Amino acid sequence: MNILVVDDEKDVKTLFEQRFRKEIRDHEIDFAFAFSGEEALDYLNQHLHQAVLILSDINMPGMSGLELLDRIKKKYDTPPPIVMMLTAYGDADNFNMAKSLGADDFLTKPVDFTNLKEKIKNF
Amino acid sequence: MRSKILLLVILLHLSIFLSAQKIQMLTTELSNAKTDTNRLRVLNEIAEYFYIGYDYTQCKEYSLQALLLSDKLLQSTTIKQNAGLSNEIKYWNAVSRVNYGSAIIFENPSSAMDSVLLSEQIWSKANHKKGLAFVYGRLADLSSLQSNHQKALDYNEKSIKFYTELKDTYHLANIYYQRALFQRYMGYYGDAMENNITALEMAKESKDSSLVVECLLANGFIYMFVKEFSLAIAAQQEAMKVATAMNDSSYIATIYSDMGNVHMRDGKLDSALQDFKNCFNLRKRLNETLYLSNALLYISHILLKQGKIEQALATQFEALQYAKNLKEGTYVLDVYADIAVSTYKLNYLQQSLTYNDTLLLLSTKYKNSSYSSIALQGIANVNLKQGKRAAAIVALKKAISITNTDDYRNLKEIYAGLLTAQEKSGNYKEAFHNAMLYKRFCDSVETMEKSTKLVSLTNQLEFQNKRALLEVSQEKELALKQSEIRQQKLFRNLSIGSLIIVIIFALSYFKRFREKRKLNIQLEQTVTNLKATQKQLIQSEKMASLGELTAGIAHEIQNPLNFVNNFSEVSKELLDEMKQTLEKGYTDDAKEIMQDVVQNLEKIKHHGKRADAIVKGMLQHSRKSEGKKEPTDINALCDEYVRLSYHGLRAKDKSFNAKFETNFDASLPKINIVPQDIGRVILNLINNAFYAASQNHQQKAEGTLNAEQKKVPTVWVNTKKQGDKVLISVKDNGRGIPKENLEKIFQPFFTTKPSGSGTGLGLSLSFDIVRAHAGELKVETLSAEAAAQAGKDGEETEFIIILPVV
Repeated sequence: MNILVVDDEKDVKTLFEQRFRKEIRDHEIDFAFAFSGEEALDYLNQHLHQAVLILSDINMPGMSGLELLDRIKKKYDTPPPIVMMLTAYGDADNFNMAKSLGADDFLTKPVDFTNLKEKIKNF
Repeated sequence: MRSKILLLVILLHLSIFLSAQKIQMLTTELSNAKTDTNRLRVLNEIAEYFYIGYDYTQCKEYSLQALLLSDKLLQSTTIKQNAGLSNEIKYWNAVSRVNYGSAIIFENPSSAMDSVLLSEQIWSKANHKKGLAFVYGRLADLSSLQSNHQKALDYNEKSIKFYTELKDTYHLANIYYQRALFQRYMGYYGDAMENNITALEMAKESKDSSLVVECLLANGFIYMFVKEFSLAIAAQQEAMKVATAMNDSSYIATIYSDMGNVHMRDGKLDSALQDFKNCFNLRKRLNETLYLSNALLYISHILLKQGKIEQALATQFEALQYAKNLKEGTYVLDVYADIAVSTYKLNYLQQSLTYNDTLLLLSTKYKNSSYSSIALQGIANVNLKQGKRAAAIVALKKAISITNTDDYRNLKEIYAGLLTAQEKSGNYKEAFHNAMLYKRFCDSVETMEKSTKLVSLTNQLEFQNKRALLEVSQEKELALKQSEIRQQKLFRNLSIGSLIIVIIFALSYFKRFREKRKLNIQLEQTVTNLKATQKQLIQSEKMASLGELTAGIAHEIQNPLNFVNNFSEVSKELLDEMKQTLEKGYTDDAKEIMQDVVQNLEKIKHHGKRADAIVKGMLQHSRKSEGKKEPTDINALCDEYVRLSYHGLRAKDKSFNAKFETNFDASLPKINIVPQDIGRVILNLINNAFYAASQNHQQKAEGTLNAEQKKVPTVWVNTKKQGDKVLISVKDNGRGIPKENLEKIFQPFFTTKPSGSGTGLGLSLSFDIVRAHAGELKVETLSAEAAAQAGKDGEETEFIIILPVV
């Protein structure tokens, strides 16, 4: 399973690599990281359909997570990748916006990794 | 004071005698006039000369005749058919309205002005320049008569404009002379002299010798007022030459009188006496009865100054004979007042009492309260000298009741008299009360005299500058540039002059200010209150920007805290795992895990510090500025605040969707600043930039702007080293600042944000902060149109903070 994580905080990479070290070691999940919305689109263009699941932050300089979500859902419709939004602002506005743009799930920071692992396994 | 009245009378001389001669000629012309239009013209001219000669009754009569005649003529059908003739009559009709209005200016000022202004309207509609030039000159005159000198000057300027257009040098000269007169009344001696000289040149050009004499005499008076006595006499001597050439004895008599005034003020009493005697003899020969008593009174004043009281009294009695023969009763008042004083001085008490009684009677009749007050004081003085204290007190109390409350000089004298009278009669309580009042009026008189002196000093100063200017310009033909330099000099002189005046002012009022300490304390309190309010405002501006910060801070702090939590959690997991691998004996794996844990601990420390810095920054921001300068990394400061601002706005507004780009100059040295202060400036500029950029975007989204103008709202934060300066630039692609707002943006309380959204203090405080750092805060902006003109792509605004490195 390929997962693309999009966040402007670079340490997110280290964190995920450690949190999912067992899954990575066992090749259950392959992680790719992008540090902005633009970078994420670049990656998707180059690795078409490789990412099955996308985890994206909402608040990023430049292209925001919501904009990225919108673009992904519009561009890659056959079949659309699963997009889960991650944000520090767990308010209704952000939630509704993400849902209306087609987000598959909505998680608030700090990330509960046990919960996240469960969700990933269920997809 | 009395000499002032006399002076004014003298000023009227010339025109009266001039007009008397002309009127005689015109009356003959009137009886010989063959056509109605001719009759109209002559009637108006006579009315005008009566007006010039201050004979309003006659002026009214002749102008009314002209008005009725022209009205009648305008009804006639034959004239209606003749356009040229009808226009001429209409012109004279308007002129007669002007003259009629002028005649009733004292009788009925408001309908007088209405009548004159009606002609002004008619001529204004027809753009009749000759009529307009004439009516504005007259309106100026009438305004001056009503003591509205500023308005007079305004009308005069209009008249000058039209006569200049008409190239009518003859009338223009008269109008400049008129202007100079108004300016002299207002104490603008420098301007008055300049205009007199203009009038003089023009009068010479149009060979108007009467006006030449009048201009020279007018300048003579100006020189006298500014105490340039030798110049005054020189001007009068020149006038004397012209008048002698004209063989005009009436002018010569006037010139003698003028010279006498100058000599008298200059303290040259013998010359003055000779001048006035010459004047009197000439006037007597010419049978100018109206002025004989005045000329004699001048003589008596000189004699009094010379201590020849008996001679002075004799002269005054002679003056009385001439004054009594005049129709105008007011001339007698001057004489009686003088005689009453002279007899008192010579101790002819009973006589003095009689003349004071007569003066009281007549002044009451002519409603001249000033003379009534003087008479009552005279009566009281005589009574006091005779020991009749009660009678003196009665007279003085009556004097108080009729004296104008602002006539400090007379009031002071009256209270001094009352004080003495009551003291002598042992009435100490009343005496004390009056002593207080006396002291108060002494103060008032002193103040009044000081301010009069001040005004006179200012006028003299201004005059000297003007004269210096004029002399230089007469000496050489000066290039424009030089004249500019001179003007600057003049301004400098004037400002030095005003500085001196200010100092004099300050000194003379120092005493009074001390008395008003109570008021000062109140003022100080007000200032303190204002300062407190200002502090509050600054604090509320701080809190407002703090509010904008809070949301950003929450986000910024949340991220590192998440990392701290996550990394410590995962480290625990890693250690558990390490324990297991060690138990299994896989030391290599254990080492690898240990490496990760070490790395995690570093991360925890890093993010802990990050959170710490944010909290510290927040505290610094809200803390009252201690103004401590410290070497600061500008790039880090900019980075910190651009992030705070960005996340803050993003947290507040979900639709907020702007980009920011930073371009920091790595070679920037640390510079010595108060970081929280400059940080506030940067934050403020960035917040504004984001606001402007996204505002523009919103309007585009709403369709108020063209779709093609769409662009991503962006804020650029750049730093750069330039010589010994550090430049911090905050640029946005918002709509730009309109030109009319550009000057105001640094003013306190100026804001374009909807009310309640901004304090309007942000930029103003920023400006002050940057200036306190010996720096500059500049703004460059391109509106859409300006951008299009400059061939640039779209609008932008750039704020640049320039700070010195040292």
